[in-house]
Amino acid sequence: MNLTKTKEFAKILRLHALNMTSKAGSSHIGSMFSIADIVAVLFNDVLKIKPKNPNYKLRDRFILSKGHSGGIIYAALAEKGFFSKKKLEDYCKNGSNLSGHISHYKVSGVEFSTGSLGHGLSVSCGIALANLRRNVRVFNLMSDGELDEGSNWEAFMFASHHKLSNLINIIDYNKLQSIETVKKTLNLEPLESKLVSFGWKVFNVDGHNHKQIYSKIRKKKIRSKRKPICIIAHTIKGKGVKFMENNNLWHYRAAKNEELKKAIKHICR
Amino acid sequence: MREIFKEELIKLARKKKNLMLLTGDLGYGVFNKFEKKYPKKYLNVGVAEQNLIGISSGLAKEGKCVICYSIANFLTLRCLEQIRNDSVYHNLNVNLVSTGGGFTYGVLGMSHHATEDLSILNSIPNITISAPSTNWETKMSFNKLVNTKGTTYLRLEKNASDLIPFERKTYKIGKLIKYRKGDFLAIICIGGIFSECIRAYNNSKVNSSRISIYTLSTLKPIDEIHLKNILRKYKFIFTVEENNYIGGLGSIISSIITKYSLKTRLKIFSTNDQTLKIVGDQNYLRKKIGIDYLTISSEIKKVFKSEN
Ligand SMILES: Cc1ncc(C[n+]2csc(CCOP(=O)(O)OP(=O)(O)O)c2C)c(N)n1
Repeated sequence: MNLTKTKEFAKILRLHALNMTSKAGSSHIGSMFSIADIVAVLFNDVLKIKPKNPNYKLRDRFILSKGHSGGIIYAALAEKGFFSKKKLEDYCKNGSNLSGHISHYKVSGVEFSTGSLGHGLSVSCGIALANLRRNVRVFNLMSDGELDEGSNWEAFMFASHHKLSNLINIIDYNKLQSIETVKKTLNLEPLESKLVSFGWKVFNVDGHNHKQIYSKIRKKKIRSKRKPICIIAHTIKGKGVKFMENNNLWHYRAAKNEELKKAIKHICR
Repeated sequence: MREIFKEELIKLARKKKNLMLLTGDLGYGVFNKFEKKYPKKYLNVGVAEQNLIGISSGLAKEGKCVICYSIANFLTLRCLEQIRNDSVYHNLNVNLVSTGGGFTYGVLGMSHHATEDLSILNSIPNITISAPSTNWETKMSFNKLVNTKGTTYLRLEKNASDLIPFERKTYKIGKLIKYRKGDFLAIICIGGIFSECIRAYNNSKVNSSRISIYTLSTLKPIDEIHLKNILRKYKFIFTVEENNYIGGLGSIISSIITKYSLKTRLKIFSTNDQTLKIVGDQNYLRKKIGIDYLTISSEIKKVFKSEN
């Protein structure tokens, strides 16, 4: 892992996401900043993928279950060369395939379309099961509010029952959901022990610390115990732009004029 | 429409002691006032629609009048069996209120394109379904549904048409509401797409005495005889909906025409059993799928041309 490069990549991703949502006047920038560092590590240092051969059979599968953060994945894919960066300008525009919630149709590199919360982990279980004997890992990235959906808990049981050791589920635990805090809406705690009791190997990481994230999801660690792995990534919604951090207004608003300039400054600092 | 719903909800909470509002983690900034005023009547159950309907059914079973709020697809498709078995089958007073009908959330992608909710719920017996077209219809419909026995669904969009300011004393479930009167072609629509119909009429520049415009504000239940008696008066019917015609307005009107062997000819404007894989704003997507005012008005012109 080259920490300087990953840091730079995370910055580029944030800038893309900021500009894309700002230009389109579209939502969910806070949710994208929350996962920017996780996505940077995944796409820069972890995922075995081939931009020139996107359907390469033994690729790692990455599924964004919190589909409302699709913009930053499009940015990562464009930066990695799956399609041209110019295409990002179409994000949420009339006639575009780059929808606000991630969609695979005519977008190279997107493994699966989501947007309704609580679908990704089950699909990831299916993909992991199909590839259990192959050298293919499945990464699912979900949000914390998403864990309100019961489907996830069905999938948690399934994954450990079937010993899906090639499945890595990452929870973006930014402690905020649509309206209020997770704690106030539907408390997840004690989250770690819940997941452990469901038969998962669980790690807690600082979701903005590249080295920590990497150390838990790099190849060597995977497939040790015949258990699926869950990373609880402690994050901050809106991370990287001070006035967006922990403020759910930015679940809905896009940065305009002065806000945009200020936000760019924060990211480039 | 949502503003009207908000206002009416607060008024209703004052009148109805047993009212409760449950949301599936949606409505940022929408229910602040309600929550402040009636903290005990407000509950955010989280992003959990199946749970939402189950809990609401339980509350309703114990005498509450429940309003459930979420985005259209999540509130109908995700928890369809809970709606059917828990709420409808037990005839419980659960009132589903959705936002984002049709292509309201057009740029967000197919997960948010709500173009089957009306059709799918329509195939469930013993449910009341409404998709108002104007603010007045929204107000009337919401109050009517909440006071209707059993399970109801109200589909809201962001904008209501204010092209025809219109109020009446009564609002009846299952009957057409007449917005203008003509003798040859009747346009019947449901939901916010009404504004496209008005524009299409204006744009077609056809003799105004020849075109009627109606809304069928409630898709279910319908008064079949009333509908038949109106349909038979026209040589041509257009139905317009931001929804799939299968199970929707188009198929309802079509089945009445067939059942009563009416001579009326029918043209259906709907999403036409398609899923859009591109995104765009509501106007753009309406155009793409052929339910915009220009497409409708050119069809109006065609009908009159063939008549002459
Ligand atoms: C099934 C379903 N219900 C509701 C929504 C609407 N929705 C979008 S994001 C969101 C919650 C946001 O909080 P969280 O899941 O924690 O993600 P974050 O934005 O914090 O990353 C909701 C309720 C949805 N996308 N899918």
